[in-house]
Amino acid sequence: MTLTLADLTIPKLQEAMNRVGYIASQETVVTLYLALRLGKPLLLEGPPGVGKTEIAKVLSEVFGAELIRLQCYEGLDETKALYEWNYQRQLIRIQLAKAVEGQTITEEDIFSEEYLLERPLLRAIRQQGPAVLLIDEVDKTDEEFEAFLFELLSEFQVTVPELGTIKATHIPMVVLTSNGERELSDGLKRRCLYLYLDYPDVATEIRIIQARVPGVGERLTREVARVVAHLRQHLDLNKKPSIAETLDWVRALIALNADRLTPELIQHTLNVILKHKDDINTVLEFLGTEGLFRVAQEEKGR
Amino acid sequence: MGQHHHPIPPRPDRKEIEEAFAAAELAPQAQAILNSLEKGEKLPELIEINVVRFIHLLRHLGLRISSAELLDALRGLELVGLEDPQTVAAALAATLVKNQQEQKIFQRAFRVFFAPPEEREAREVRKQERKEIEEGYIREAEEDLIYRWYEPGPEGRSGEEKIDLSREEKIIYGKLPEDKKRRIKELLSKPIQRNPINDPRPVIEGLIRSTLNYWKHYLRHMDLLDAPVEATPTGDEEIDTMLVEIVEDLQGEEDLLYQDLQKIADQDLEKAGKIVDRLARQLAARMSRRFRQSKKRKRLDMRRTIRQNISYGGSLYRLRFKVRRVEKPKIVLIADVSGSMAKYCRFTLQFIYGLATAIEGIEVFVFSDDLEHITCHFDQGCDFAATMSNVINQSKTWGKSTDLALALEKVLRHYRYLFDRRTYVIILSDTRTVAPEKAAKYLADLKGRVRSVIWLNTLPKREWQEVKQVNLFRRYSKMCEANTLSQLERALRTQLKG
Repeated sequence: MTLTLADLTIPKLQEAMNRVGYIASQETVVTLYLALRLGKPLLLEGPPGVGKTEIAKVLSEVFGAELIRLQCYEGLDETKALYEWNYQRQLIRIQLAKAVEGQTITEEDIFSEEYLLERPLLRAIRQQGPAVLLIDEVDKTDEEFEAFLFELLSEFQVTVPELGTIKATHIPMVVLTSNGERELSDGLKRRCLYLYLDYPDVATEIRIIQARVPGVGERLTREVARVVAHLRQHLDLNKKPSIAETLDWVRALIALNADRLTPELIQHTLNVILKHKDDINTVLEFLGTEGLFRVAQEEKGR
Repeated sequence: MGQHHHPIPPRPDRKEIEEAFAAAELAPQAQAILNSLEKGEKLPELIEINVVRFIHLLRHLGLRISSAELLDALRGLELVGLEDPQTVAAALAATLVKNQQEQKIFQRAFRVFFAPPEEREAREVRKQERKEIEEGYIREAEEDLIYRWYEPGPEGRSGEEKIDLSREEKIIYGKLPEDKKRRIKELLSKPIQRNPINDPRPVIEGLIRSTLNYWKHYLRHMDLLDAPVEATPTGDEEIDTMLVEIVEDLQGEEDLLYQDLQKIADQDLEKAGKIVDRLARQLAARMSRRFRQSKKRKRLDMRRTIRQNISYGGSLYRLRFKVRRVEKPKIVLIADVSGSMAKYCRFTLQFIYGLATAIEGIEVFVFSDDLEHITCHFDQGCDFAATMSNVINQSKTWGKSTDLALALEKVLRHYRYLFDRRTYVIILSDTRTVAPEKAAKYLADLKGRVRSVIWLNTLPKREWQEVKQVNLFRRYSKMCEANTLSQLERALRTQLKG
C-alpha cells in the first residue's frame, strides 16, 4: 500500500516508514511530514552513516515515487546536474547538412529537444508522476552550484536558455543531505526545512536491528547496541560506527552462531565495526575486549 | 551570540507581525495581540503569540529568523496541532533551526520557554533570591561608602553624604573580598576638609568609581562576577530572565566553543585544539572551493564552441573556454603575544595554520615590545604542538608589554613586499598598546595597501566602549570580537571573503 500526500498524517507516515524497515524518531517523522505538506525541500545534516540518504529511498518506497539521485562532488556543474547538449549528434547533424546541397541549418535546429541530454535535476522537474529528488552530499559542491540550486528549490523551475523556463508539473519531494564538511549558504538553508540527524540512542538502535535483521536474538541485539553506543559516545574515533556497520556486525555474529557477545567474539569481529587501524588500537588500548564485554553486560543506568 | 557582523534583528515590528499573521490567516488574533502589546497589557496565552515571543527570544539568542520562517513555523503548527509538546518542538525546530549549534540553543530555549508551571515558579524563586542577594550588596555599599567632610574655621560645619554610585558599582563593592573593602573604607574614614569654593567630593567619587571599575575586570576574570549575558536583553523582563537562564545553561555545559579562550583549562586544551582543527578544516574546504584554481588551466566550453562554429559547417575553428577561477588569498598574521594574550594567540595561530591548504601563503609575525617574524617555524613540517613550543622557546617577545606602533612600522619597512591586493592582514590584539595614535597612523597606511585588515579583538565586545583605542583602530580595520572559539571561527569565516 503506497501513501499519497492528500491523506497524509503523522501516524500514517510513521507506520509506513516502519513497514519498510526505517525506524525513525518522532522528530524525524514530524519534520518529514512538514516538508511534504509544506512542499519544501528537506535539508538533512549529520555525521556519515546515520541514515540520511536512506530517508530519500524510504520516501520513494512509501510513496511509490521514482528516486532521482544527484550525487554531488567538487566541481559538479550544471552540465552534469541539469542538462547538456548532445554534441556528437549536433556535429553529425551539421556535417550532414553540409553534405546535402541547398540545406541550411539554424541554431534552433540543433538546440532542440532532440539533442537535449537530461540530467537528474531536469529529469526531476519534468517527471510526470511523483518523484523523490535526492541531492546527496550537497556540501561537496561549491557555492556557485548552491546558488544555482536556489531557483530550482524555491520555484521548482529551471531555465534552459535555448528552450526557455521549464516548470515542474509534479513538485518532486526534495531531500538534500550534508555531512557538514562546510557550512551551507544561508540562502540555501532558508529554502529548506532542517533536520539534524544524529546517531540513534540505544533503544532506537535496538529497534532498528530488530527491524532490519529478522530473527536476531534479543540479548545479542541489546549487547551490540550498547557497545556501539559506547564506542560512539566515549571514544575519540576517526570514524564512528555507522548504523549499517552495526547491522553488518549483527549479521556477522549471527553467521558465527552467536547469541551473545564474548570477549573472543569481540576480538574476532571488531574490524566489522571499526575500519581504521588507529581506531581498533584506540579501543584495545582504552577498553580492551574485556572492557567492551563489560560495557555489553552493563544494565542501563548503572 | 550577539555578533556585530550579524546584528540581532530587531523585535518583529507591527507590520511584520501583521503580515505574518495575515498570511497565516490569523488576522483577528493578530489584531488583538497587537492591541494588547501596544497597551502594555499582559499578553493572552495564545499559542500564536507565544510562538512570536519564542521567536523573539531565539532572535536574541543569535538565531536569524525571517518572517518567511515565522510563517512556516505557524503553518507547521497548524498542520501538526498543539497536543503533543514533542511534536510542537519538532515542528518549530524544523522551520526555525538552520544548523547543529542552533539546534542546541533551540532545545534549551524551548525547555525554558515552554516550561511547566512548577518550573516557572522555581525560576521566579531563583530570580527573587538573586535579587535579594544583590539588594544586600547594595545596602552594604550604601552603609560603607560615606563621604565625610568638615569646614575649617570657628563656625566650621561637618557632615556625611552617600557616595553617588550606580547599582552595578554598588554590587561590585559588595562582592569584593573583605580586605579590599577595608582599604576602600580606610580611604573614606578620615573626614575631608572642604570649603565653599573647593569641594573635593567629585574627585573622591571619581577615585572610588575607577577603583571599582578596576575590580570589575578583576572579578570577571576570577569568575566572581556574573558576566553579562552575551545575548542582548530585550527589555521584556520575563523574556530577559529566560535569556539569562538559557545562556547560563549553555555556558554551564562548559561548551568550549563559548568559553573565553583565556579561561580554557589546561586539561581541556587538547580537546579545544581538536575543535580548532575541525573548524579550520571546514573553513579551508569552504575557502578552497571559492579560491581554487582550475587544474585544467583551460577547460573547453563545448556549448559555446558548437554555437560559435555552426557557420563553419561543424568544423571547430574557434574554441571557447570556460572562465578561469580567482586566485588564492595570502594571509599576514600580526599577533600580540604580550602577557595576557598567550592562549588567544595559540588558538588563532592554530586556526590560521589549519587553513594552510586553502591559502597561497601565510606569514606570521608576533609582537609585544618588538616584532618577530616566525613564519620559518611553521614551514618545518612539525605538528602544531611542536611548532608552538618552538615558537615560544625561541621567541624573545613572548609575554612582554605591547607596542603595536613599533610592530607595524617595522613590518611596513622590512616586509612591504608582502602586502598587495590579495593580502588579508589579520591583527590579533586586545587593542591595549602604548602610542595608539601612532599605531593608528601605520594601520591606515597598511589598510591602503591590502585587500582587508581584519582585527581580531580578544576583548569581549561589551567592554569595547570602555577602551578608547577600540574606536580609534576600528576606523582602519574590520574589527571582530574573538574572545571565544565560536567568535574566532565566525570572524574568520565572514571576513575572509573579500
